[in-house]
Amino acid sequence: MHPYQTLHVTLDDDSETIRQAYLDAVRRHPPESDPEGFRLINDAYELIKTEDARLSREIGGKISGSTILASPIEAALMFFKADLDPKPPAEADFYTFLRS
Amino acid sequence: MILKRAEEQLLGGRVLRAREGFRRLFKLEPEVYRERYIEVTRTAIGFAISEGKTDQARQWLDYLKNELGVDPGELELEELKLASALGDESASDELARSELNSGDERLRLRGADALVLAGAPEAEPVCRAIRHLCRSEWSEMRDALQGVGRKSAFAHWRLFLRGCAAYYQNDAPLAASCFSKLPAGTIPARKAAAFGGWRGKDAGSFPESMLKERCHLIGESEMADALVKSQHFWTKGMYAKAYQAMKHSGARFPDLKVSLAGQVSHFFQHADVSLNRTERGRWLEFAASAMSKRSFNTEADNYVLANTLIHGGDYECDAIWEIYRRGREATRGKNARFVALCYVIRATSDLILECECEECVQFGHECAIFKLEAAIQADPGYEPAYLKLLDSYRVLRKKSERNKLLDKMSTRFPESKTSLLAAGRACLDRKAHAKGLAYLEKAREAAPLDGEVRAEIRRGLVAKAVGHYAKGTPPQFEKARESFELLLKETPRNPDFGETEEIVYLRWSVLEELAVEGKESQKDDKRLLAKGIDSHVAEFVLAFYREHHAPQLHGKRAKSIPMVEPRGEKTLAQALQMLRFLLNGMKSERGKGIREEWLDFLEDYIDDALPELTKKDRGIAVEMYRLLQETHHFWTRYPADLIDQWRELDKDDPLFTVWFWQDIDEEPTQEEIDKTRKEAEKRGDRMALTALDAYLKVLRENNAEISDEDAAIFGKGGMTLDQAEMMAAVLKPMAPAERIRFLMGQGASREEAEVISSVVDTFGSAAPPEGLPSAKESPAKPKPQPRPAAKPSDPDPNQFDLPF
Repeated sequence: MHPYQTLHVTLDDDSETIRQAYLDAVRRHPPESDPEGFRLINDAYELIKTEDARLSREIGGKISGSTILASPIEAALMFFKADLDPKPPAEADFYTFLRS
Repeated sequence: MILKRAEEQLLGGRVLRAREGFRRLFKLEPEVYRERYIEVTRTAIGFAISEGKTDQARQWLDYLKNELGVDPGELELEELKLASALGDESASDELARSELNSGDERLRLRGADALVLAGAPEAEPVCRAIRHLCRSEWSEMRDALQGVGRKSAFAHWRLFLRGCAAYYQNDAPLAASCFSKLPAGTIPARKAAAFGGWRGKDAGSFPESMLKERCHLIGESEMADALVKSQHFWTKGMYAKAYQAMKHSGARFPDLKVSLAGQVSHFFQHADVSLNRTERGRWLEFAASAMSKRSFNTEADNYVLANTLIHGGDYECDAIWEIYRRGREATRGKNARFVALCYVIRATSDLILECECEECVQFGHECAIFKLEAAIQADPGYEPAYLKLLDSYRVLRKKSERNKLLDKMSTRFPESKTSLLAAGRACLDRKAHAKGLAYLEKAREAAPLDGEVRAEIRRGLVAKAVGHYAKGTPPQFEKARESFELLLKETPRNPDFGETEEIVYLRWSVLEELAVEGKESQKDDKRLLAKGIDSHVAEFVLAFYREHHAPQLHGKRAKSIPMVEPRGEKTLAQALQMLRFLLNGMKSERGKGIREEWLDFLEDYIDDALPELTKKDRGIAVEMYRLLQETHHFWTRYPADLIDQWRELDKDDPLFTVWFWQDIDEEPTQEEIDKTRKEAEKRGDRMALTALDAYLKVLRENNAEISDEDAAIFGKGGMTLDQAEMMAAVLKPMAPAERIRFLMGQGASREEAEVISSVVDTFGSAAPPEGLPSAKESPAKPKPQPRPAAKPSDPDPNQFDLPF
């Protein structure tokens, strides 16, 4: 799991911004209607909610629970899956995508 | 003949050969074949343009005009195609328009796609809808799409954009429905793959096109091919090439941002966890060698590769940590907390020792102290560094340093539960009870619901009371009693058996008995307040606390206190209460004061209680068995007695039958297993069914063939179970480092010795590790672990009448 991708925050955001992003994400994916999404959001928040947790993850590479990524494409898939609320790209980027 | 072959070649798509055939026919009979030759040449021009052979196409066009006299107006479409292929945008648009107006449906759709990409006026509603889509303006997007008719050539864009909008609004079913209706071969149909559902897919079950289109969508096109290549190399075990494929892909790799490349970089940093021992070695070897190569010398590379080595276990090399720090600072900026954390990790690694003798442990802590002090210097606000340093000072008995550090911590982290708890504990350990309790009260203010703090407060109050009682004067006794009054107020809402008010009164009465003599003693008053407790259990508790507190009050009297021999009927229910009390005592007193004699006493008691076992006791027996399993290192004999006793009473009880199998050497027959399963189903005994499944799983695992790794460790020829047990018996008493030296002396490599040393602890006389005996020379019968993962869960209250 890529917790930053799930919560739509950057590596440099502080704990308060991350908390706010977490609350917004939970509002969008409440446990009653999207239990799987809610679990992903909770896991993501646990991994990066404090600066110590973020740094520990950076050095130790913790992903989530006992998940172990076994190959580059698995890592990529996890990155895509982590994005629960994909946002449309900018117009120019969308045309670049269509032309590619 | 020539005509026939040329027609066949044309039909088969071999356009150039077909043209050559018609050229020859034209030479033979120009008037007959002129029109056909022109037609085939025009087809060949289209083919050449699509193949990028624009010079050839130009030559043929000029030939048609100049040599065959074709009217240039008739060749307008070919001219447009050629101009479009040569990058003339207006020509492209013209071409698209001509395709849009053609009668061929495929060409119409292609023309529409080209006009949308060109942003042409004909596609204005679609382009407007795209603009709104990218701004998440859903209703405006829908309004814009109203201008696209259902039968228009742009209708598939309408579907595509609706699907995209549904995808971005998390309506996956609607998105899938829209995308599934897109006409094949169009741009929208190809691009829809990027919006595929990722949940539920794994690396082996998704189409490559999805991955590629997704990479394009998120603006990381270079990653698409690189990922496929890297995956190929990685799964083949060519780790260096897998990393190089990413590195030389043109993608921004390694990347330390929130991006696909960043995620893959993160994977490589910590990839060692997914590899086995040999593979990990090869991967780390590559990481180490790559760091010295020019092509891998960016700071991002250094950061990733150094972290790879650190994560792989290279904690001790200062140079690698330094490279890692520099790489991190160059890519992410300076961060004091990061530096402090690195020091703490290094200090922690100093405490992971092969030899656990006192000398080595002390040496480890002395090394750790330097790093922990450096961590605090780097970031004075990093609390875990203080806590670890505190622990090292405790182990090394550096009292004054420890006290200074505690004062520093209480100033720096006045509201931190962890620091206050540590300070409180330290004070209690050095018998500064009042100060310790003050710290603990502050810790409770910081974390009012924390059970650990409350338990420590209860321990502190008892310790304080004992301290007052030990002083032996009436005013001190009063203070001790005040402590007990406070302790009673601290009784948890759902206390363990050892923490109930009755037990507190019993404990209090023991202290009164031991410390206060004559009429002043409130011993009997307190004991009366504990009236709810069964007399056998009460005697057991009293005896336990007499022994526990006597040395604290009157050191020499400890041995003179006799063990209690209860009178009257002994029941399993009482034994269970005693067991719970003892387990609680072991937990709350941090294991102090529990002697083997107590366990022996309880074991005898249980044995005596067994003849009284009745069918009503089944719930108790189940609970007892569960607790005994938790503490099986104290009891080796008793569970079997309990099982036998119960089976005499009810020989078909499925749960106890499974436990019986666990404790004997012989495997049950399939018939017995089936019979027991049927019995469990008949009785609705879910616990028995769970235990049976878990037992059979362990049995299957134990019967599995010897693994390659074990074969490598124990030799291809393998060893018999007896040999393995003998070796385990020799190695088990040794410290890990001693084992490794011994095994290396016997010819094992260091790596093999480390692995064997690590499995020895799991290799008990009753439970050999699975797969250890040779497949060729297997022992009599593999024996399931006597207490496998089949631990019974808590008894179902609907199934048993539990007494508590």
